[in-house]
Amino acid sequence: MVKFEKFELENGLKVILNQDDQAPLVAFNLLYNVGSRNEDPQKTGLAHLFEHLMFTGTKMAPDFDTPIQMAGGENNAFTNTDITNYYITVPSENLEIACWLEADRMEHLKLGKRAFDVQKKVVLEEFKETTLNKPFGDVWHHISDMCYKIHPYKWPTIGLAPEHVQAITREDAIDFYGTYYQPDNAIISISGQFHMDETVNMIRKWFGSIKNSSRFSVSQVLQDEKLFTGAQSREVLADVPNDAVFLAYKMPGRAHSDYYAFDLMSDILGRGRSSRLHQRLVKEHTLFSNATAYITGTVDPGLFVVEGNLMKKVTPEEGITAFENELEQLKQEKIQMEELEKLKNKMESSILFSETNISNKAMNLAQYELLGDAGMINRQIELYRAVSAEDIQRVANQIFVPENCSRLLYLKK
Amino acid sequence: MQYSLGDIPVISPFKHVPFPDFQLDYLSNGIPVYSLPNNDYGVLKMEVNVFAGRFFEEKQAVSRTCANLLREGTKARTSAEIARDIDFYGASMQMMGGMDVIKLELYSMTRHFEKVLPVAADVLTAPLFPENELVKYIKRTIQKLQNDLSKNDILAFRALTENIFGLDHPYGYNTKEETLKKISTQDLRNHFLQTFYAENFSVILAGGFPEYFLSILEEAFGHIPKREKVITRPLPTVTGQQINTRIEGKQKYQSSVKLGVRMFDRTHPDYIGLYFTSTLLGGYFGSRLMQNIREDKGLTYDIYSSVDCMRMDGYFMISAEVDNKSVDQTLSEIRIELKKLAEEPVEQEELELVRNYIKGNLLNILNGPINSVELIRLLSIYGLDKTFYDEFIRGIDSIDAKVINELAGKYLDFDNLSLIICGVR
Repeated sequence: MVKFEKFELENGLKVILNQDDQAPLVAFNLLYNVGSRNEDPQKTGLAHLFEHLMFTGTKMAPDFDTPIQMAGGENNAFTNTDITNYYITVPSENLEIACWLEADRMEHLKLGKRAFDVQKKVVLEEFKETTLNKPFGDVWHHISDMCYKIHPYKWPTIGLAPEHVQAITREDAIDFYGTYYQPDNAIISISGQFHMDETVNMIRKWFGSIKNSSRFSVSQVLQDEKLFTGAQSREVLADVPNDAVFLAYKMPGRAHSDYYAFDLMSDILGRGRSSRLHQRLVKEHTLFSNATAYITGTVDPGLFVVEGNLMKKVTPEEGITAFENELEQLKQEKIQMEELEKLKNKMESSILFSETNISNKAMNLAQYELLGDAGMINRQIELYRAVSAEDIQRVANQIFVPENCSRLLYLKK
Repeated sequence: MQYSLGDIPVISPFKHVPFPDFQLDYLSNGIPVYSLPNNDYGVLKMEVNVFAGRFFEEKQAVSRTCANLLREGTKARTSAEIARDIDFYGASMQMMGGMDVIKLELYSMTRHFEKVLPVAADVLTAPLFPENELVKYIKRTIQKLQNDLSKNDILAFRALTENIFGLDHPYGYNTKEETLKKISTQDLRNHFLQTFYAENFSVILAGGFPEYFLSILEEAFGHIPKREKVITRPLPTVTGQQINTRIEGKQKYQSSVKLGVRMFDRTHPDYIGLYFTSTLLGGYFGSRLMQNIREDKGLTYDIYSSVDCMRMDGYFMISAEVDNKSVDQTLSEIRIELKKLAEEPVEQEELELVRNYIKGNLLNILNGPINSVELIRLLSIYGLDKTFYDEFIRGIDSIDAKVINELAGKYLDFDNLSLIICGVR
C-alpha cells in the first residue's frame, strides 16, 4: 500500500507526496504532459530534443547538473510518445535544491543559440547510435508507420528522420516551451524521506507563483483514427545478422478497462521462461533464438506486438505461422486456471518489487495521476486479479483478426 | 518566480552515508550467509555466488555454459518444470556466468519464498546437464554471438580485453563459435564437480524473509559437501600489451572508440584514488570528457571512463560511439584531457563535486534492501568486512589534487593505452 498526499496549486500544478523512510534520500519526479504525440508531423523529434534543452541552463543556474551533483544527487529524463519525465534523486537535506532547479527551469530556461546547436548535434549522434547504426534500429519506424495512418504515434519519439531534427529551429523550441512547459501541464511527485509540512511549503514557495502563460489549450483532442487500419505487410532487407519477424495489432489505450486483460495476454506469450513462446517456439521447436510479446501501453490506442529472431534455416513464413498458431489458440481455447494464476502472481510480484524503489514509486504515482488518479497505484493488483479466462479469450478474438494485423519481415540482405 | 541570488538554497554538506547493517551467519558446512531484513515490501532477493566463473575453468566458455545449463534439468525436475515452478509463484530466477563467480539471483514474494527456494537449491546441487539441452543451447548461443559480432561496440570491446590481458587469459579471451562447439556435457559435469563445493559458496538474503531463515537455508544448502583439499589456481599469465587495433565494422554511421589498459583489483592501494580520478575524468555527467566532448563539442551522445575490477585484476577504459568523421578530433580531445589530468592542478570545487557525486551515488545504490545486495556481494566475494566500506569513504574524503595528478601521470598516459577503433574508414 503506497500512502500519499495530494494537492493542487492555484496555477494548476499537481503535487503528490509519498513518505518512505528506508533511506535518507528523496526522489523528485516532474512529469510534463507532452510527448511526441504533440508534435507537428513535419517537425518530429522536437519533444525529445527539447528534453535535452531542459538541461542547458538558466540565468540563475547556468549549469543544471552541477548543483545536483554537488548536492550528492543524480538526475536524468526520458521522453516517450506521451510524456516527458524528469527525475532527480538527492539526499533528503538537499530536497530544496531539486525544487529550486525544477521551478527555475520551468519558468526561466535560457535556450541560448550555442546550447541549442550543440544539443541538436548530440541528438543527431543519438539518432545514429540508437537507430541508424544499430541492427534492427529502425524497426519501430516501420511498425509505427504501418499501424497508424493519422495519429502521431506514426513516428517514433526520436523522430521520423534525422532531417526533421536537423530542420528544427530555436524558434520552434521557444514556441514548444511556451506551449507545453506550464504548471497546469505538469505533475510533481516526491517519494522518500522528507518532512511533510516543510516540503509542502517549499513547493508553494518555488512553484506557487509560476503563472500559466500557455497560448493555447494543451488538452488538444488528437484526430481519431479507425482502430483497425487493414492488413499490412512490409519486407525490409538490411545488413542484419539474422531474419526477424514482427506482428503488431492495435489495441485500446491505457485507461481502457480491458487494458489488464491485454497485458496478461501478452504475458501468456512472452513473460518468463515458462511462457508459451519461449517453451514452445524457442526451446521445443527451436524456430527462434528468442521470441516475446508485449504491449506498448500508450495513453491513446496502442499496440500488441509479437516478435522473434529466427534461427538459421527457418523461413519467415514458418515463423509467422508459428506465431499465428499461438494467437489462434488464444482465440479458440480458454486459458487454464493454473496458467492464469501464474500470470497474476508474476504481475503482483513485479508491482511489489517496483515499490521497493523510491524513484520508480515517484514515477508511477505521477503517471497514474496523469491517467486520472494517483490512487490507481494501489488498485493495480486487484485489477489484474479480476481478469478472467473469458476476458482474455474475448480480447484475443477482438484484436487478432486479419484486418488488424501489421506484419514486418526484417530480413538479412 | 523572480528571485535573487541570495534566495538560492544552500547545499547542505554530506552527512554520513550509512552502510546497511547486515548480519553474518554460517551454515553447518561453513557457507556464509549475509542477511539484511526489511519486511516493508513483502518481497526479497536471494543471491548465491559460487567461485566457479571463468577464472576457475579448465576449458574456455565452460563456466558460462555451465551456469546457463544448471537450470536445464535436474534429477528431480525437467527444464520446463523448473521454469514452471519458479514462474508459478511469481518469482524469477537468473543465472549468470561471470569472470569470477557463477551467480544465481532469486527474486520472490516473501510469502512464496519457501516454495521456490527448493527449486533454486535443486539447480545448484543436482543438475543433470542433459545432452539435448546443451545442443539447443549452443545453437541459440551461436546465433546470438553472430548477432553480437555485427556490432562495432562489441567487436571493439572484445579486441580491447584481448589486448589488455591476452588471448588465453580468463579475463581476456573471447568466446568464438568453435569454442562453443567444443563443449561437451562431460566438460560441464567436470566443471561442476570441481567448483560447486561448500567452500566456494556464499549466500546473501535481503528483504522480507522469515525469522527462521537459517534453518530453511540449512535445508537448502547445508548438505553441500566440503572439499578435503581446496583447489587453488595459479595466477594466469597476462600476455596483453599496448596495441592499437583498427577493425572494419559493419555499422556504417558511427565508429566505436575504446582505449584501455590493465590496472589491478580493488585491494590495491591506488584503487580508491584511481576510481576517483576516473570518475572525475569520465564517470558522471559533469565529468571532463562528457562536458568537453559531448556538451561543448557535440561529438557524441555518450562518452565515459571506468575502472572495472575483477577479483584478481582490473582495467581502465574510455569508451565512446562517434561519427566516423569525428574519430580523430575525439581522440585528440581525449589526449588533451589526459595530459591535463596529469599536469594541471585540479580546483577544490571540482574535487568537492566528485566527492559528493561518489557519495551520493553510494547512497543511491544503498537505497532499499534489494539494492544493497550489490555492495554486500562485493564484500562477500573479497571476504572483506564492513571496515572496507568505511575505508573507502575515508579514502574518497582524503583525495587531493596532487593525488589525481600523480595517478594520472602514473597510469593514464595516452600512449600507454591500447586504442581500438571499429567502424568504416
